[in-house]
Amino acid sequence: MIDEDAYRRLLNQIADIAAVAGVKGAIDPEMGGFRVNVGTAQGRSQAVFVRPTGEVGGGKPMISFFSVARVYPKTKLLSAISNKELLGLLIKNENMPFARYGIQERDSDYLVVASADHLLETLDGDEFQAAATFVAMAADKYEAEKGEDKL
Amino acid sequence: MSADSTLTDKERESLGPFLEELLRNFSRYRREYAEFVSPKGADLVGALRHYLADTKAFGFECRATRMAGLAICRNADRVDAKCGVGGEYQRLLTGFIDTLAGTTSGDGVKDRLLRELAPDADALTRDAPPTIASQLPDLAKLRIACEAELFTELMAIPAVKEITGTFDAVRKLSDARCSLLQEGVRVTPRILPKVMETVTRLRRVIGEDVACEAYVFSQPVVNAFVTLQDDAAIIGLSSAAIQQFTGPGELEFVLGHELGHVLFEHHRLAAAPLLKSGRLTVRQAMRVRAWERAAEISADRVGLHVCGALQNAAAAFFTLQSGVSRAEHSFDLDEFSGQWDELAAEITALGQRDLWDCSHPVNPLRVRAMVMHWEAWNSATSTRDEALRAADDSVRRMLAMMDPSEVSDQAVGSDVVLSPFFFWGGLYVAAADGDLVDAEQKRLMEVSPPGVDAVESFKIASGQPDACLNRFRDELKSRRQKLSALELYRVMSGVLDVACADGVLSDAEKSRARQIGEIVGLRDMACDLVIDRYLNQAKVMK
Repeated sequence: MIDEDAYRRLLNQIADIAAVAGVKGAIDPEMGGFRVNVGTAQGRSQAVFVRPTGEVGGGKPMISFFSVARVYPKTKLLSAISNKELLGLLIKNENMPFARYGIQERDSDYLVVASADHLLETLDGDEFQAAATFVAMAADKYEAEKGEDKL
Repeated sequence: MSADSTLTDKERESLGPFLEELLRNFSRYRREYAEFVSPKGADLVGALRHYLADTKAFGFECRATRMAGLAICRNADRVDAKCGVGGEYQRLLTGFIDTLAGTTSGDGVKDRLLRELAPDADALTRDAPPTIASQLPDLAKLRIACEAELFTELMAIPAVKEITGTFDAVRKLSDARCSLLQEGVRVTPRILPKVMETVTRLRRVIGEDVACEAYVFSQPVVNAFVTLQDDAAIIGLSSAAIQQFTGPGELEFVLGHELGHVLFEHHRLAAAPLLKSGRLTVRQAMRVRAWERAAEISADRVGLHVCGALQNAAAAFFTLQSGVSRAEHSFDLDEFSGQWDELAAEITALGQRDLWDCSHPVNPLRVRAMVMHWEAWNSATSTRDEALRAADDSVRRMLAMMDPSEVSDQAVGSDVVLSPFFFWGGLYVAAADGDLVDAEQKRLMEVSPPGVDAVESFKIASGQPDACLNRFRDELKSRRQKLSALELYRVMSGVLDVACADGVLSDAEKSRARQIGEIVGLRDMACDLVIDRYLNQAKVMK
C-alpha cells in the first residue's frame, strides 16, 4: 500500500541513490519510474526504469528495476510467443544472474520485461549500477534473440 | 509599597518581573505564598502585604533572616534545580547562619538563630513537595510541542479518526476495575495508606472532581499504567513498583506521570487498537508510535513537577533502569543524564533504525529530556518561554533518533542518526571561506550532535580545519554498519546544506565537499551528480 505522496518520496530517493551511484537519469512521469539509459553490446542502449513496488517486513520499501524487451498487443501475445518460448523464458530465469523475465500487463498490451527487486534503504551505489546493468543486458539479450528467432 | 500600601504603575513595571520570579521561588519553601502566584500575573500587593507582616522564617518580620531570607531562597532554588528541595536548603541556611554569627557576636547569636529557625526549617523540609496544582494553567507549557502536532497530523487520517471513534465507544465497556479487583488490591485509607495519601495529594493535578482509584497488583516487574472507566482515572501499580520506588518523591513521580496522561487526555488517541487494526501504512504506524513517545515525555514532565525535584524524578528512572534502590546505591545525576550521549553515539555507530516500534522513549533519553526541561523551566522569567521552546526542539531531535518517519527528503539534515556527519563535514566545508557566517553557524547549531560543544568547535574550525575533517573520519570509522547509498546522499546533502546556509556554494567550499565525497567513497562523477542534484533542489547559487 503506497499512497501518492509516499510514491513520490520514494521516487526521489531512487534519484538520490542514482546520483550516489554516479548514474545519470531522470524521472519519467509516463512510466512512473526513474529512467536510466544503459549501454549494452555493440553500441546499443537499453532504457531501465526503477520504481517503488511495495514494502516488505517492517515497512522497508522495495524497488524494482525493469527494462522492456518487447511489447505485444493484448490480442497477439499468444500468437507471437509459443508455449515453448514461454517455457524457455522460465528456464532462462533459473540460470540468469540478478534478473528475471516476466510479463507486465497494461491496458492494451503486454510488456515482456527483464526485472530485479531490491530493498531501497540498504542498496548501495555499486548494487544500483549492477542491477541496472544486468536488467538492461537481459532485456537486450531477449530482443536480440527474438530478432534472430533463437528463443 | 511600604509607605503607601499600594503599587503605582511605575513601581509595578519596574519591580513586577523581579518580584514575580522571587515570589515563585519563595512559594516553593513557604507554601502559603503559592496562593499569590498565578501564571497570569502574581498578586504582588497581596503577597507583599503578607510578607511584610510575616514573622516566620524568611518573612520580613522574622528577626533572624529579614531580607537575607529571600537571597537564600533564590540561591537554594538554583541549586535545588539539580539537587532537590531540602538538602541544599539546609546547607545554605547553615552557611548563612554561620556567616551571620561570624559577623556579629559569635556563638550566642548562632545558637539563637538555630533555635529560631530550626523548627521552621524542619517543617519546611518535611512539608509536602510543592505541587503544580497552583500552576495548572501553565500545564500547556509542560506538553512537548511535537506531541500536539503529531496528534493533529494523526487525527487528519480518516482511518485513525474512525478507529479512535469506535474505540471510544468500546471503552465504555472497560473491565479494568473488575480485572484489577480480581488480580490486585484497591488502595484505600486503610489499605496501603501511604500510597493512598500520595494518590489523594496528587489528585489535585487532574482536578478534585475527577475520581481517582489506585490498585496494586502482584508483579515482579516495575509497571504502572492508567486507564479510564466511568470517567474515573484508574491507576495500576505493580508490587515491584511499590517496593522499589521508595526514595523521596519517586512514587510521586510515577503517579504524577500517570496522572499526566489523564490530564493531557492521551486516551483520546487509542494507539494500541490503531496499531492492531492493520489499516495503517507502516509510516502511519511509525507516526503513532512517535506520538506515543512524545506523550510519555509530556507525562514525565507532569511527574517531574509534581515530585518537585529533578533529583527525585531521575532517581525513579535510576531505579527503573538499574533495578537497584537509591537507598543502598548512590548515583550522580549529571553522569546518569550524560549516558544519553553515549547511547546516542552507539545508535549512530550502529545506524540503528529499528527503535521506532517502541511505545516509550529509551530511559536515558527520558532522563535527559527531563533535565533539559527542568533547566529551561527554572531559567529567568524573562527568558523562560524561549528556553522552554529551545528545550522542546532539542528533545524533538532526540526523539527523532528513534523515528525513521522524521527523516524527510524535503528537510535536509533531518536524519539525526547522521548528525555527526552533517556537523563535522558541514563545519569543514563551510569554514573553507574563512569565518563562518551567522546562517552557517545557526545551521550547524541545528544539526549539532549530542555532547558536542558547537561554539567551541567553531573556534577549532577557523584555526584547524583538518581537525574537523579528522572528526568526520573518526565518525565514519566508528560507524559499525556501512552507510547505504541513501545515507550517503543524506550525508552529502546535509554537509552541503550547512555550507549553503548563506545561499552560496563557493569554489573553495565545493572543493572541500568533493574531499568529503572522496572520504565516504564517492567516485568523482557521483560526487558531481550529488552536488548538482542538491544545488538544483535547493536552488542555491553556484
